[in-house]
Amino acid sequence: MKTILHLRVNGQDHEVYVAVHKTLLEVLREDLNLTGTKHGCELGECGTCTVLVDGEPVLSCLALPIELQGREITTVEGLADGATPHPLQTAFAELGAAQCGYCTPGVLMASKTLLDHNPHPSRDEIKHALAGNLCRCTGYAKIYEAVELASKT
Amino acid sequence: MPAAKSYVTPLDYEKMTPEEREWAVLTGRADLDRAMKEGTPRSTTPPASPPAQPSADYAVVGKPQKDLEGYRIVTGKSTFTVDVYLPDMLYVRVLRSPLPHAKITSIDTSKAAALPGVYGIITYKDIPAQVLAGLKPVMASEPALVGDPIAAVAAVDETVAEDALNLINVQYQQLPFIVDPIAGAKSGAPLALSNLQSNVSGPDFKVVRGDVNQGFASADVTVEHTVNTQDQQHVALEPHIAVARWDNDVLTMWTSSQYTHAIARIVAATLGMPYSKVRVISAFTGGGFGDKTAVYPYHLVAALLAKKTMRPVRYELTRLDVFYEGSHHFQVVQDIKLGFKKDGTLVALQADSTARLGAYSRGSGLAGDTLSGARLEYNIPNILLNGRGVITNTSSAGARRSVGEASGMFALETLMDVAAEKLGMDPVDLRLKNINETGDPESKLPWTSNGLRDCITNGASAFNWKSRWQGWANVNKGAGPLKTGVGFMALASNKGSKSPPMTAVVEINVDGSVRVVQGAAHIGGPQRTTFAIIAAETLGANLDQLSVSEPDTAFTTDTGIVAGSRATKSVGSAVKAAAEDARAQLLGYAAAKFSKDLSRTVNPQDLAVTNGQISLQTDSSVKPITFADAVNSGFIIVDGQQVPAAATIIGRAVVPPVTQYAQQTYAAAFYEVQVNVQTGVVRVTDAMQIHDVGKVINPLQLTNQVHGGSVQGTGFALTEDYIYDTATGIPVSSNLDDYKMLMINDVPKITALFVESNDAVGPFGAKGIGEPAFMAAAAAISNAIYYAAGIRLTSLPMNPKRVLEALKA
Ligand code: FES
Ligand code: FES
Repeated sequence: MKTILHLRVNGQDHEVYVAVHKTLLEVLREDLNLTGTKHGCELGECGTCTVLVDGEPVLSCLALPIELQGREITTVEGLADGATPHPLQTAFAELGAAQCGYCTPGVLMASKTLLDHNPHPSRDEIKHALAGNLCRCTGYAKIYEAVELASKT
Repeated sequence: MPAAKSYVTPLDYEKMTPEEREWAVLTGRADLDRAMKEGTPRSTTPPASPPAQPSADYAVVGKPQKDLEGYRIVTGKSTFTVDVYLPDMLYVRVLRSPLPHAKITSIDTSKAAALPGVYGIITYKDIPAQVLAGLKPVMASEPALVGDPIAAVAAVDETVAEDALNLINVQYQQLPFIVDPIAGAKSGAPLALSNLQSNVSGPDFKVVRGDVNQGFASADVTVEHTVNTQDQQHVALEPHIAVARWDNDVLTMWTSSQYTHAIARIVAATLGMPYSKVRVISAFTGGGFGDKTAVYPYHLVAALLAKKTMRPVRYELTRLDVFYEGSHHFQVVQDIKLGFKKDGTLVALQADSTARLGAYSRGSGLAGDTLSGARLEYNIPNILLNGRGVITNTSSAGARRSVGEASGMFALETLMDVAAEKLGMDPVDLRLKNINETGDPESKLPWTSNGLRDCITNGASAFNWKSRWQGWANVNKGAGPLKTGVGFMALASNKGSKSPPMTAVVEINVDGSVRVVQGAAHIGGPQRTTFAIIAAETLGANLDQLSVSEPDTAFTTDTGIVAGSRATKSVGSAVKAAAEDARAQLLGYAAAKFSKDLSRTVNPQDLAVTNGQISLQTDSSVKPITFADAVNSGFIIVDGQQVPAAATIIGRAVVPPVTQYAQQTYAAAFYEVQVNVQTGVVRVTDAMQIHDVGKVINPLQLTNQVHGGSVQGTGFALTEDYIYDTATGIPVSSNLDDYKMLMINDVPKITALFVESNDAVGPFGAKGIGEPAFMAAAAAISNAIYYAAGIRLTSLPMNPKRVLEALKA
């Protein structure tokens, strides 16, 4: 069964006609062509698919867009201010906190919420905010450093 | 996009708070700072070639460089294969065997085929018996593991494909199965596949050196143990995927791969097509760790269904599919015995290795790989090594960050620790006494370089080993439930070698910009940045003149696999050779230009290139010219003659294999652990790895490789375990919750240090890092656990259950 959904993503309104059971992850990637959001399990286990809904991190592989109409959805494509990267993006790129880069969009979004609520987080707060994001490449050390450095910019 | 500011500038410790200093250490920033300020120590072991050039001599090499692709990645613009959606595309789902071993007695797909939205189905009946993905059936008629593919459906979307699977009726005749390799090797064991004579595959791996019996007879001290290491999964975060499209008789396949050219070659051979008519693309690869090196059934499923339906087809494996169909770091059971003289001199080694191959790996090569480090790390006059592979009804064994060496190193380096205690020696001194600094005793070839001694001694002093390790009398001396201890291991690895195919092209364009054409995967190294650095340094170009091609077999040469820690050394060698060819031509153009402008003969050898400027060394009053000036001169000087030339330079290289040297990488590792003797939980609290990297090309990214490797190696040591239920053959930890990997809150301080030994054949003397960083963990952690709590753990992972059992024993 298909339905029309009204979604607001990265400040832009979209009308999409999709199957009702589709997850937010699928609608973002397949119907809105916003493929920046990635996925590693589609079972809520890896954090790769993290996007923001009204500023709070949400696992898009578990979220149903039909319940998110009228809410403000933000993906990695909405993180930069036009051509100016978000300080988190700059820090991750400059320090090599993205290696293969596949987990990076999810990590960036979870980090953004942290910094929005708490511009100068402690290390434990960084740990806590990113405890649900699996990264298989970096060993997390550079992720730590990048989030902290972004908080100083 | 321009950087807002550079973060990689030297630290000012004076101005930093104690907390900031601690933070710099924790994040590895202090290591980088030290490397930038002091350079990397050079090996003191006499190398095969002169000592490495100090980095100060180089413009680009040895300086921290960010990934050229970094901004594309962080803005979500890097195209992974999962991001490939084509018009009119069909989606695939695969029905997989619920049984570990069975014969299909009937299969009926008619109801599924009638479902609206289904466009194609394949089962074993559609695929000729000789069409295999490597050794795996594309679709099984005799499934030999839980998860073997039985039927694949292409439909308008994944939901319809999934629904169709439920309509397929399969009848199985269950057959006996075997999961355990030791039981499987015994005669009379159930056969993993009905066409086998025995589960033991091929002739045994065997190495004989000297006389092992005499060796042990002459030994004063003998130690031995049996070690059991587990199946480990790669969990590259991007799932395995292939998107296939036929354009008449040309097949284009996008796939998340470590080696596009091999995929193209093998898919072509399997389908009976010319290699040139299969194009494979893999712009960005979301992790691989060895699991994306081969052709799998899913590649052929996508190709065959796309052909059958004549529509583009996308098959993205679910995480569960990846666990089933992907290859695994295989279980190995090793018996190992060492003999020493009283003074610690090694005189004998005997080791026997049994590797679980799963259903579709073959031979004793994987078992042999587990024994490589033991054969080569130390001088041992008498050796007997035996290894075998055993076919089982489990997922196939394959390449996994070190292949078998991590297991072999765990067995050897934990036993060296046992020996050190029995000999009453400092474990560091025992290693130093026995290092094989000469070469491979079997091939008689010398090492390209060997910096192991410096890795050990520099590490011992940086870690403060002499005061943190307080002799064998102080094992298990901590009070209270949290016990702390330190452990050490040394490491020799056959990975990181320079090996073919090594081809590359370096173009200098009409505007002076430079393009490196190569086909190696970008998977986090960051490989393209490494190649840009090597080409820029060789040419004397600025890094921002460079661009590096993405892997696409239609446009790039076969640069070889990004695996075996070989990208920097092998692909880097090809890029360097191609850049040298381009540079020679560039100087010919520039000499023609100078000759014309100055109206006198200028020879290419009179010219120097730095920072993208070509200057006349013999006359500093002459204004330097740019690459663009040179290539546009219209002439090139070849053998002293001016000949007309087009304004494009193509440098090319096909690098031959290395035959005069044996190649190894080396490392030492020092770990501190905290063992909770009430809960059995082990935490790593401090980790230090020291690697002989030959030459540091990019200290920023090198440090990052050590961080990632150390954390994966710690997961191998402590938590990761792909477990089969032996009663049913079903894997029970095939999801990312039960398959436990380290997360950000499990990560200790990790220190990465390097030694430059100037490898005789690597580009600028460099060798690899990816796998050694992973291997330099488990044995040091086990040795540290012993020092902390007095228990020797010889099975991996060293999880709370095993710790508590050992404490009770
Ligand atoms: S893809 Fe959503 S949590 Fe893994
Ligand atoms: S950078 Fe590869 S998974 Fe995080």
